[in-house]
Amino acid sequence: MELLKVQNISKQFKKIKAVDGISFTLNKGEILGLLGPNGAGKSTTISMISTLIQPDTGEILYADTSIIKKPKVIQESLGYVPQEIALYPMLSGKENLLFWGRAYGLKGKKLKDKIEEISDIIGIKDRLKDKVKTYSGGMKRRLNIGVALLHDPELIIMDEPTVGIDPQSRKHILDTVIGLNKKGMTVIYTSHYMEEVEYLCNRICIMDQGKIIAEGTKEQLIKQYNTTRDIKLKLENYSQEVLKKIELLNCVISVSLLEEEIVVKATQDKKLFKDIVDLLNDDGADIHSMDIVEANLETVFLQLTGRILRD
Amino acid sequence: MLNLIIKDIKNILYDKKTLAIILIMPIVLMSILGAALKGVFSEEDNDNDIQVYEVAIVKEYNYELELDKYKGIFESGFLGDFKGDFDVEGIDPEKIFFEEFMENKEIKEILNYTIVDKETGEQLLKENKASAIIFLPRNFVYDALISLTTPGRNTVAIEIVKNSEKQFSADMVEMIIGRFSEAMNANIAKKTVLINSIIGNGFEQEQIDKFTKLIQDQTTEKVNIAVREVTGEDSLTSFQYYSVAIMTMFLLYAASIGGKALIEEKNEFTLQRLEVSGSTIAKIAMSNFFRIISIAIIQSIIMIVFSSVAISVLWGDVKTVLVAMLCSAFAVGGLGVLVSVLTLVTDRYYIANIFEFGIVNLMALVGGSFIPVEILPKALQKINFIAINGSAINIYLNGMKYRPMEENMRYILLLIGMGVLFILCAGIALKASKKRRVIA
Ligand SMILES: Nc1ncnc2c1ncn2[C@@H]1O[C@H](COP(=O)(O)OP(=O)(O)O)[C@@H](O)[C@H]1O
Ligand SMILES: [Mg+2]
Repeated sequence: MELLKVQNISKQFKKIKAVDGISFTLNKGEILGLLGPNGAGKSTTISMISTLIQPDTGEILYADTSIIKKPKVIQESLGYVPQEIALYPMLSGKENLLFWGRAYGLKGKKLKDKIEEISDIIGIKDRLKDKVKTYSGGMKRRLNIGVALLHDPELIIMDEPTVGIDPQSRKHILDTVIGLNKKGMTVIYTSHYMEEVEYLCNRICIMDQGKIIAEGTKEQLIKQYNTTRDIKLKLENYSQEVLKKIELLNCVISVSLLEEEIVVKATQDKKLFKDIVDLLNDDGADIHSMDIVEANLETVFLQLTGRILRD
Repeated sequence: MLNLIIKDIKNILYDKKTLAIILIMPIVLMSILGAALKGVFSEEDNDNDIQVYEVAIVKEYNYELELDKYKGIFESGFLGDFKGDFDVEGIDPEKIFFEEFMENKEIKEILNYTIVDKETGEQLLKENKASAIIFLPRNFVYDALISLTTPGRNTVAIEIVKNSEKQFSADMVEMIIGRFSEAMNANIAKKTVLINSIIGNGFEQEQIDKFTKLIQDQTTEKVNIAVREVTGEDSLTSFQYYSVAIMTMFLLYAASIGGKALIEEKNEFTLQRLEVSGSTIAKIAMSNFFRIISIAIIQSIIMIVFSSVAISVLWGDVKTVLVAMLCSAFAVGGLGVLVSVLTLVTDRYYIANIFEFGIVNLMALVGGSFIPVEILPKALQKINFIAINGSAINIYLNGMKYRPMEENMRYILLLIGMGVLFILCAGIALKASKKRRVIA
């Protein structure tokens, strides 16, 4: 079932076209990833979906109703986790949760119970009474998410929720997202970390320069856009001829020398591995290590744009 | 909405810096001013309940002997060409101290002195019958004369022994006598230059006469300055005027705190989050309005209570005080909201800063919070009521004079009108910017 339908939205900031005609749909119960480098337009897209900015063109439908005309429709069922920590640092964690809960119309026992539950989920129970400004980066991030969960939103949008935190907090957050999804929450998750999006998302939109340049499941994307993989070799006592022979193999695209390593770029071929080893044995070369770098979204992005994802 | 207001107030209570500005600062300022006023001013109108501090004065000098000593030196030519026999009468230190200073009308209302010997003085202090003993030291007359009339600079050190059980009044005594010493020293500094120039150029009797007169004039003038009364309005005391003035000035700071509220929330990204949660900017701005009003009212109450208890300011008619408090809070709230909205929609933090440092201080000045309106230029006096604090001061002062409410009507309407106008402008600014506004 379609929960959200984004139709050809764009947004121009003075000279910059931050979002340039984006369309996608979001089905109930899925985790949709928006993957793209900084400045791709992810946050702007999310701001339009969460009614913070009005698009210059296009339409956004939530449960078949235009949220541009009726922002309330999505506001009540949306949990929004902004890219920045949007909390009151002078207030305690509990006071923040109380405040944001009330902002969503919760009160009394229901709010209290909910705060209990949420602080358990995000793991800040023992620090609830402390001021937020005394929290670590990871705790702030977790509370930033917790605040968006209080009113049991149907849809939760997270904008780079793991930026600048320790691996442990990151793991906690990723597992929280999966847990929430299992309970039936629909999620839009943006990141410029390919691993996170790969780990979490059912479906991925790759964004660059305000456009969605590819869309699909991880497998679909790799299959569609990435037919190559890298084989990295560390060798000794090898001849230049053997490298030429490898390069002449059917499925090999290129062989290059990177510092100590020899990188063989090749199309997917099951026999390739054996062929290379055979050639090296004939040459009498010592193989110190052999590494196969499988295609991933990073290489897909590279393939699509000629640039790498991260700065 | 209540949720927003509670949050805002909590935020202020937890923010020690802001809290200090809006609450502690005015109290400190009032205390300092109160203490300073108390030392220098006298309250002429209600002489019944004003406290007079008892002091004992011990003369350790020998008047005749020291006068002779001075005359001897003066006539001996010790001072080179600079000699003569002009009249000591006008610059007699004993006379200046007792007749011109201690017997001065204003001083007399605060200090009542008795001349005693050392033992009696100490006895009085012990029995709490005096707040302090003032010792006029050996050579007081001689040193003062030398200092006043010759290039020499013998320091006149008046010693004060304070009664530790009457700390406050003893401090007052110390301060008053300190004023006297200051006045003497100021004179000494001035005349040294003068005498040097006379000596350098040779002298004539005429010049000496002129000089003598000058010293006399200066001495009296200086001592007078130390106890000069800056009168408040009609029957009001300076305490009353300045309490009102300081209070209303700090109300303007409540507006300037509120003026930054929205852009600060934006910079903290909580404003965006609030918007996504369905709170409109208009609603958030309205809550800011109530926040400023609450701050203003809390400030007013604290300052009124503090000033009545600590420095015995009489606030007069309770109803008028309440009206003044509410009306000024309303106007200040409107002003703060307008500033906050303008700052937000233009996304220019400096607008709030300009308001805080420029407009607030300008208003404080024009409204008469720094110096009494009467001293301001006529043109400013005419537009004084335009400043929120100006109108508020007028209402409070009327209340202190128990004037009928009708006299306040014009100020009340003005304050409420201003508040409404500001809010309307803020609303228009919000509406006009709606399409263009990008808060993300
Ligand atoms: N409020 C704004 N005003 C002007 N330019 C903006 C604004 N917000 C974003 N941009 C620009 O739009 C582009 C997309 O930004 P953003 O949506 O934040 O990208 P992402 O979230 O993918 O990093 C960037 O070039 C950014 O500089
Ligand atoms: Mg972003």
